[in-house]
Amino acid sequence: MEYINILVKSIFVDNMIFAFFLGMCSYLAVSKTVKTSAGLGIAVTFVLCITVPVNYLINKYLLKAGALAWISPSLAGVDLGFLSFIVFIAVIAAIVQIVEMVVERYSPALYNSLGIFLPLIAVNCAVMGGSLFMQERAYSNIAQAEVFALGSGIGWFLAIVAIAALREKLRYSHIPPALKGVGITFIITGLMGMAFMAFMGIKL
Amino acid sequence: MKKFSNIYILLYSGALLAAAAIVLSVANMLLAPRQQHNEQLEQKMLILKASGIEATARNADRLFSDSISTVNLGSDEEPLPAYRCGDRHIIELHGNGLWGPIWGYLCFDAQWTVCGAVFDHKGETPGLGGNISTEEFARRFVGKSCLDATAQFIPIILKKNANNNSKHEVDAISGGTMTSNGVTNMLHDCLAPYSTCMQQTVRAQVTSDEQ
Amino acid sequence: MNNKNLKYITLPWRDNNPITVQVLGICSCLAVTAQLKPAVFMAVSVTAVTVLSNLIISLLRNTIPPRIRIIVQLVVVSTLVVLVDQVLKAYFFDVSKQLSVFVGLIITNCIVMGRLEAFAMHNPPLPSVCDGLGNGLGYSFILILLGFTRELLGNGTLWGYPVTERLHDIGYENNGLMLMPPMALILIGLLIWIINSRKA
Repeated sequence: MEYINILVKSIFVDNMIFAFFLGMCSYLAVSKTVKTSAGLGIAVTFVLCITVPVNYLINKYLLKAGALAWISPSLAGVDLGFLSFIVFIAVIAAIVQIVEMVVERYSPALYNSLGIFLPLIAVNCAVMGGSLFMQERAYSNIAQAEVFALGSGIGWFLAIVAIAALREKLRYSHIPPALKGVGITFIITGLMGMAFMAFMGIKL
Repeated sequence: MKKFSNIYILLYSGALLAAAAIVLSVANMLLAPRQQHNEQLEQKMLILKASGIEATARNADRLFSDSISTVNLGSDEEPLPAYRCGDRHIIELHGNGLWGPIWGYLCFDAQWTVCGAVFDHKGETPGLGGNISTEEFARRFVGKSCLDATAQFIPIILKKNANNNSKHEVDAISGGTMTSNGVTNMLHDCLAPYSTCMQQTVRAQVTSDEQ
Repeated sequence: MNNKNLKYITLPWRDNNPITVQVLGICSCLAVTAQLKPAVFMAVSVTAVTVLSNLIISLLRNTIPPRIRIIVQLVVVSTLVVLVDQVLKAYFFDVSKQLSVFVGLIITNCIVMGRLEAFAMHNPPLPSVCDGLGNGLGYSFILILLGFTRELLGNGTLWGYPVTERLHDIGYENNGLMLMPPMALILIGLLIWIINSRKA
């Protein structure tokens, strides 16, 4: 029940795009066709599902106040929390690199569809945001963190695929010239966000 | 473009990381005391608010040290920390709401009746469960008690259409069922350990009244 | 300061505004624009990080091995962001709580990395600082404008002080929608519209 709760909340209520505007750069740049945006969406979900649990473990056993107590009780007073930003981004950059190499080596087909997006993801705010929210919300175990990562990824995927589908249609509609492109995309995203706000009242 | 050898790259990244680590550690050491002070200040302001003392960030420190002291209501083996303000006790609460941690302070008068409360949360739904941090919600607790007439421990619960005459029921937040349940659990878990101590004081008062 | 350096500061303002035209760095900025105060602090933080990281990378530019330049940039930026976060926590505790994770997200802010990669890697320190300042200020302008509009129309306050109290007596109502996330996107869309039509 708790897991469904976290999943639903992270997909719909705390949607990375509509509620927190994370990953807007790639969201705006790569949402011209449904096919490429679906690829990027899957890649983001994939990377989130790997980096969030890894960062969860690092945060729990290395960074949190008193987290080093398992090495020796004398270290219980150490709080490395101030290093979390720098560690998280390093872990994300490293994992993205490793994932890219592994996928290229073992699954060329997957690499052909996802590979071009992977370098983009290291600096995707949604991925970094996933780790930071995981830390801030203090999930009680790794399974919750994983479910949260999956939900955030799916939420991001839904958002980018939906906007790409809309933009494909938009190409044939009459929009004031000054509003074409980025401008109208922002406004549509805002309207979609309003629709997603309906999920806020969801009772669980 | 210049060519760089592998050794140079390794040394370079090592030096860069060392520099970053030193800068950050120094900054952390310099600023940590102030940050902790800020966090304590926030806690003090919540406690003062629960005990009905108006405080600002400026005078909170002074008011706190003037009027509030820490006491142990349990034994040495099982300490039950609380705050004391005159003849009132303030007990810290913490638990889980729907989406994350919730916490608060309850202020009890000498008869262990609630005379003040304050709640806060990290990420409850704004407008629904998030309303536990409002003063309106905190006021619902005033006059409640977790002891009945015979000094038995009865936890305070949140429920819909609560009987306002009951000392153990508080109106739940509309639309925030899970958060309300979280508050109920928090009240039970955090107050139950104090029940023996509460019963002792109340019984002692009853006997002294009879005499 | 010569004219060229001055140009680097003013350029992002005229036809090269970092948000509206380059459409970079929008991620971390919108969520904190529901009120003026966090928006201003966010703007100052981003500007400081952009200027300082531009300066550091520009000083190091001839020593950075190209193969690890992205990592070097990331380390510099994240160190600066951690510093900003620590300072905020120590001196502006209430604001740092409101900004929560969004300070950390300056690291992945495309505007910072974008300026490092596009400008600071190839230019001497002074122009780099000017470029960083110009871009940071352009970004700040939009953040503060959004914060101003959303807090004024949504909450009737500015920096926490009530402004529209008198108007309520004659039937004025706050527009609560302004405080909701979608309105930030719609306002940005409208802003781009205005800027684009003025250019055309």
